[in-house]
Amino acid sequence: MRRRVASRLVAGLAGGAVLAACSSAPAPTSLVQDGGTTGGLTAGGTPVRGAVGGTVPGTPGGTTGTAPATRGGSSTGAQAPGTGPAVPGTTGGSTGGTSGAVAPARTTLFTPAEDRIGITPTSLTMCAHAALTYGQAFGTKDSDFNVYWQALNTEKGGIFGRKVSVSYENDNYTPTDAVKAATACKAKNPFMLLGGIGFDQIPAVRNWADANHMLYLHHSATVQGSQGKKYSFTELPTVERLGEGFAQLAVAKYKGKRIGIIERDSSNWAPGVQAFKAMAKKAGLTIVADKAVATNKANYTDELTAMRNAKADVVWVWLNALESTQLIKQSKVQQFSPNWLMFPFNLTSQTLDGDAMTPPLDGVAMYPAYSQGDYSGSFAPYASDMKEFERQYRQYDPDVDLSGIGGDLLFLNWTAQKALHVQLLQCGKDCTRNRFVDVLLGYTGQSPGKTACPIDFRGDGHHGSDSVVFMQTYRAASGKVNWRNTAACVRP
Amino acid sequence: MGQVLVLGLINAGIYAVFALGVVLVYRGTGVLTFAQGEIGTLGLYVAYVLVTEQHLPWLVGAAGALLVTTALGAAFELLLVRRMVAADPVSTAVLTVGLGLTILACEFFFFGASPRVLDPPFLAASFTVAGVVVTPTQVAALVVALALGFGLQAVLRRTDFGLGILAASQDAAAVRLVGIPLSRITLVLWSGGAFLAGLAALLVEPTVGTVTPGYASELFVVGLAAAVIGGLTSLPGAVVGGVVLGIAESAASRYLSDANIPGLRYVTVFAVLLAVLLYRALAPELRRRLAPAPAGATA
Amino acid sequence: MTLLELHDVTAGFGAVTVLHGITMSVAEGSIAGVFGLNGAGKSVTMKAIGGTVPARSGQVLFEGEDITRLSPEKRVARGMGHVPQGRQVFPQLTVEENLRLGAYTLRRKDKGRYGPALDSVFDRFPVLKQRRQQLAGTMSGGQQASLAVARALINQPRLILVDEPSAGLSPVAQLELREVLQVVKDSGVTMVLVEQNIAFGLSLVDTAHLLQTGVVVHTAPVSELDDDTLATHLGIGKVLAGATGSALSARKGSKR
Repeated sequence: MRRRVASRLVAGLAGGAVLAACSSAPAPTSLVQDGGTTGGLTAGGTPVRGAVGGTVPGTPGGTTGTAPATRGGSSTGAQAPGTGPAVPGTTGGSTGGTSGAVAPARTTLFTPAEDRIGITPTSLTMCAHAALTYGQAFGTKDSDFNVYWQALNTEKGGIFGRKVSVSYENDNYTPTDAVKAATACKAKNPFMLLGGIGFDQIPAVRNWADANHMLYLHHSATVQGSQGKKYSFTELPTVERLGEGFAQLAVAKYKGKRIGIIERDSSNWAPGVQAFKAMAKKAGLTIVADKAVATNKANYTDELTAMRNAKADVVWVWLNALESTQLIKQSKVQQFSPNWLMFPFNLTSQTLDGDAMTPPLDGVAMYPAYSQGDYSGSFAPYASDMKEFERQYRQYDPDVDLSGIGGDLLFLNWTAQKALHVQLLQCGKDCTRNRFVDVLLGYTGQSPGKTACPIDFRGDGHHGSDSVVFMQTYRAASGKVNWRNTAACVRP
Repeated sequence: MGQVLVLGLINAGIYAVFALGVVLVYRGTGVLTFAQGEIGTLGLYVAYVLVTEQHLPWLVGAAGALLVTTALGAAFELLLVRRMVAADPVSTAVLTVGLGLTILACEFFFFGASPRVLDPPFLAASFTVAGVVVTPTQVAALVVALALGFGLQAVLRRTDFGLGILAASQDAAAVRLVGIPLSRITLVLWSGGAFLAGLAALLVEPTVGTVTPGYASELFVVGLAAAVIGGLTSLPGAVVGGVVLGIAESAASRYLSDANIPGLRYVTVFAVLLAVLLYRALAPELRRRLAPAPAGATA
Repeated sequence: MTLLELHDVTAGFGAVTVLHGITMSVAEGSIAGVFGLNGAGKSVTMKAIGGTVPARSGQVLFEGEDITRLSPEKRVARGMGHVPQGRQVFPQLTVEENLRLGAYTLRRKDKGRYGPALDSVFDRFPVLKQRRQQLAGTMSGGQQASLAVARALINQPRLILVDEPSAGLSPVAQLELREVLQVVKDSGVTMVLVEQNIAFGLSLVDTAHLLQTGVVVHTAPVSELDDDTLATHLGIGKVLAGATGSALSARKGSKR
């Protein structure tokens, strides 16, 4: 039964796409009111979408464009966790956060009337659009996604005494329904709109957000269409950056090997492949095969045969988690076992079990790995977060099986919410929308906490991160095959 | 080249078995059923529960799957299709869409979206042809498709009721007038169609590897195209259609992928479909024009 | 004895009532004809007897039993046979397969009886015997008509419903058909015949039931019919009397 509930959450966690919007935040200790736990982890928020219609879990679909000032031309690989221009405790937020006389916000995006929508002395309301279709199919409660806020409200009385409530509107994974969902959210007068995963949806909602003056914090999307949008912000890397990240991993581990690509046949995914190839060319990687497939093709015998014909040693799978799982399973039947690069989800590793270890799979993501009860090795830097996460769910949502395939999704959801919490704290007692934007814009390369990656909005003022995480599968002490970080905060 | 053929035949087996179920129902009732993919998937979940959760042998799971899908087809006919006696086939076809969606929702409700593993039988008996590993179930799919496609009609002819089924697809009203209960025929057809859906899914699943809600929908759509190519009323045609599409798809994948045509797979399917339909529509006219003029007639 | 009776049967489609109270009876061994203009309700009467259109009120009695609620298939099992409008043979089945299907109920009761029944039908219809493996759809209209009749006969029914058999047939084929139906009549099977072609029908039937707007307005043995009666009750006026008149006199002249 627990397993069933957890598996429900997998699909329901499309709704947890909410989290996507948020990323790690600087957590200057002076401003942290909840007891000093440092801010969350790297950019969170890539929920797995459920089966049908396979959009990509964790794959933003866009062209690049983010040009954070720190970008170098280097193609070196991963950095060790925690290194980087990290200066814990710096004054990230430029807006005042303490009580008393407050300096006016620098941002003037919102009029005085708009500035305080959704925030009162006792409440803070937010709303998210996400693909809830499958979550609703099995009646997932909003509270499954809101455990963080529930704990915060109950144990600490919220943020500066404001109880936080987040509601969800179903965007059905289509742009038109996403706009409808955003409109439905607006009717609830939220402080901000959170955008769950969906690179088709987000561009539509970005336009809407500008027309409706809605503060919009969203998951990865294309840079195309974002130029000139004033109300949208994201702290997650783009598609191209991810594609490039995969290339970085390939260069770091498999230089000199023959590389094959199996990609989603879609103009929203192709930019990632272009970025991969650009870096591959620079680094001298050999790409021997490249096959595009339709969504949910289900039968990949053709593609696997092509990879084998080309004698690929390494195959990069640029598809969603469910498709990746099927593909690798079929590869075993075909007796073809290259190294695999893919999006890392415990859904895949646990379903494949032993097949995910022969050889261990490699992954690139923009969220941290999670393995229930394992606080050693690369989990150690954020073990305290994991423990707190587990404690909260035990207390507020005990039916959930965090050791199952839903666990890592819930965790990245949670860490993103935690990061948002920190940013809201930085916003201060007299937080308004403009002040919140000030908080975001105040990030100029600082790393929040010792395990967080740098956030930098100095590029175009709306895209804040280019960090990715490298992962690999391993067999945990519990017996399950999960993912764990091998490198965090990998910059270009 | 040999590989294209092998891969194409693997695809063909899958498409043909789905197509057969569609044709069986359509020719007897005039209704195009869109629920085949999902009915089959439901059967797989039954097999999953029996085999992976209850640790029973694969054959027991398969039997359970076929039992459930057949019963579902029968229930669908008894409870719904029969009530729509006065309705046109299009409305009933829409009903099958609804059935498919309902099944999909149930799958999500009871099992969630996460993939379930159903280990295929007899994996050890796989063999390699032209550099492609072929599994026993893939061979079985093709064999079953051929046997049913070319043999079912002959089998039906042997029994009175079977003959009645063939007759029903030619003139349903007259069947009643010779004393055969048409309602029984439609019941058998819908049950049979659902049985074939279950069979198709069982034969396909080992190729795919995991069971998720709706995973068969893409494969089924191509199966539907195969049925149309075969003429929609011909069982052998369904098999031929499956083979044509399967090989076209693998050939396109091999030889055209460098052309970077987006959506190559569907382009291929639709191109073949279009060509066949155009040919069918224009062939009589073409034949007429190309035939030598009868003696004495003006050209 | 009376084989078939209809008492005040009403029937129709949806909101439309076509039969407004049909009352008629058919004696065993006779041929009853149902005549009327288009829209009079001949075809629906046939369907009400056969069961494909259920009676909304009234009764249908067969061999004294109330079969009003029985399905068409069950009525066939009780001893009714059909020669439907347009023949409706199964075009992609052979002649023999068509016959086998016609004998469906017979074979279910006793398979042993099928062989002799088939032989008997082939005796009566040598054309069909010659073409037993031919696909029914490839035969001429007249041959298909024979097949349709044979298919009904082989089941050894007590009553055969023949629905507009001459429709779509050439005059030559109609003559063949007339002989076929005569054969059927001679074998003692009761028939109800619906015909648009009144001349054709009157040359065969014993009793005529004349229909107008869903009711039987006149019933009489053919011997007692004259042009005027026909014209009046069918509502066709004297214009057609000439056409029917010759048929009537032919019958009267060659009374059996």
